[in-house]
Amino acid sequence: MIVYLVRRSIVALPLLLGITFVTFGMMHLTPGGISAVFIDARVRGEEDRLAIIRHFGLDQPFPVRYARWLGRIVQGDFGHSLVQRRPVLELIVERIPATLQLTIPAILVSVLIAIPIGVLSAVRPYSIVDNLATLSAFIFVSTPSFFLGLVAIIIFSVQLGWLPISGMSTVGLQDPTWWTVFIDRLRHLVIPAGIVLGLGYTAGLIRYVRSSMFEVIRQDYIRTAHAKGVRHRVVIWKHALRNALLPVVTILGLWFPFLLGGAVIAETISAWPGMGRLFVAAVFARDFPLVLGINMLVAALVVVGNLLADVSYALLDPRIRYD
Amino acid sequence: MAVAGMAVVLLFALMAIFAPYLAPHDPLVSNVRHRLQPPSSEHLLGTDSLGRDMLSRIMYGSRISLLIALLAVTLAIAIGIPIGALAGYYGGMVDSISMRFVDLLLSFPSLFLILTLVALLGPSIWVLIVVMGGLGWTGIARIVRAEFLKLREEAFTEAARAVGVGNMRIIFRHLLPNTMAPVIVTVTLGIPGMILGESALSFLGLGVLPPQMSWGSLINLGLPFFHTAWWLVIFPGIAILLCVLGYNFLGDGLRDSLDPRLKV
Repeated sequence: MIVYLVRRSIVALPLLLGITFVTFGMMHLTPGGISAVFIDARVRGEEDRLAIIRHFGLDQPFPVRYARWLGRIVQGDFGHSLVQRRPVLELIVERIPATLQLTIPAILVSVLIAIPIGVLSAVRPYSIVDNLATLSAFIFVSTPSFFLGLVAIIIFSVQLGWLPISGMSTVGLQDPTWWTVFIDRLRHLVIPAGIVLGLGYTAGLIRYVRSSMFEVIRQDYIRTAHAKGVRHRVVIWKHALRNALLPVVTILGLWFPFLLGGAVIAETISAWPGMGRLFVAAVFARDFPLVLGINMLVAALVVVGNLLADVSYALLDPRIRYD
Repeated sequence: MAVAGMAVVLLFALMAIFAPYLAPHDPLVSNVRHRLQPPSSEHLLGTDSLGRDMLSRIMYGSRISLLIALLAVTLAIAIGIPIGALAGYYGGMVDSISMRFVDLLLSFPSLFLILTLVALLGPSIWVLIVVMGGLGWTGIARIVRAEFLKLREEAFTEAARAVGVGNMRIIFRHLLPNTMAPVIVTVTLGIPGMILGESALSFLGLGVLPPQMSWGSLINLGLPFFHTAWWLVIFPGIAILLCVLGYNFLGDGLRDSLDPRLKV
């Protein structure tokens, strides 16, 4: 197992390297060159400009700069934010919990909804459940997630007053116990996690569970289970589902980084203080070390997601051998 | 459904082309006395925070939204087809290097790459087209490559080679026309993706900027007022939804009729 893990990690390295190369290289496509990125417009004198260029090593050729930068990244030094004057890593790390609080419930709810609906769709294709699932998948794929969120805010927050409009928690909550705080957080999660992130994700996941299940229930071992008299319900929900979920587990790992893209939108709509909003703010401020740092984190998550997908697949499916 | 989709797509195209003749008001002329009015017979879809007619603004917005989507897809085709064709035709190193690069792009959430490039180049219509098109060619490249892998083994390819036709001529005259069915389907289904991408960027305020307008940027401009003036975000959103649904239905129908193999 450990050998397998190590080998998969080594295979993932070129991916990580490739992404660092692409994002770092992009910085050099700027009109005016890399120095235009790092030097404040307020720096006027030619001498000051040259001093800064020398100080940051911007006069070095690209491969040297890339190697040096990579060396610092490996040591966990992502540089300083140009706007907030604080280490990039620190800024990112303090935003991660909020983003996880948004994305993990979104995944959990999506999985819990998608599995039963996907299974029912596969077992009875073109039934009412299946047709409704297909139609709603079509609609949710065609709707911008921010529009879903805004409609939900207008209906549930503004008109009906059931849910908070934005933010992560109610300011000045009366006698806060851990229970009321928890419920308050859940109410704040419904729109960004449930609707903005969750609906599109769930629709995609249902299609995935359906097609995976569709294949499995036509396998010989399912017919065998039926033939030896196992009850239909047990065959479907135990024998078939277990096998059908293998590719679903993989796709969850592969899709996780894309959920962060959705989190950018969800956090913007609901004023959720996570990484996505940090990224948008950094893009607006042209805070390139921070933009690069977040890209690196996303790249790392892509690699980790790939790795988790591989490993969980190997753990769950005895047909795949690690060695 | 495909016919309905086609009708919606045509309707939006006509609306974009003839916006100056169809729009009841000038989309840029403000009338502060009529600001934030709900839908009425004078302003069918209401007015914005400066008293500008929303219906006219949505009509003009369709021009930019569709223009960006069409040009971005065109750029994606222009990059994707040659890469896919060369990778599929030659195989070997060309193939593995370009396909590893495609895998790399596909595994990374494109919103982050797009926004990084927007941060570098500054938001504008042309930057959106170049960035979305420049990153959106992977799907087309894969499809063309898969087709070429099959086509290069066909007898007519061998025949062409036997009579001494050059590689380039085989690729572009003999094989490429045979890939048109899946390419047309991919392109039709690619346009709604571009419309959604543009709307998301403009919604964030990092796409189309005033005084130009797209559906996404109209929603962005409506954000400070949408708690009370719901029509500022609902109507542009419905325009996006209808248009994207139209393209998706059309693309699905085309897939069924042009290329039954692609059906899943």
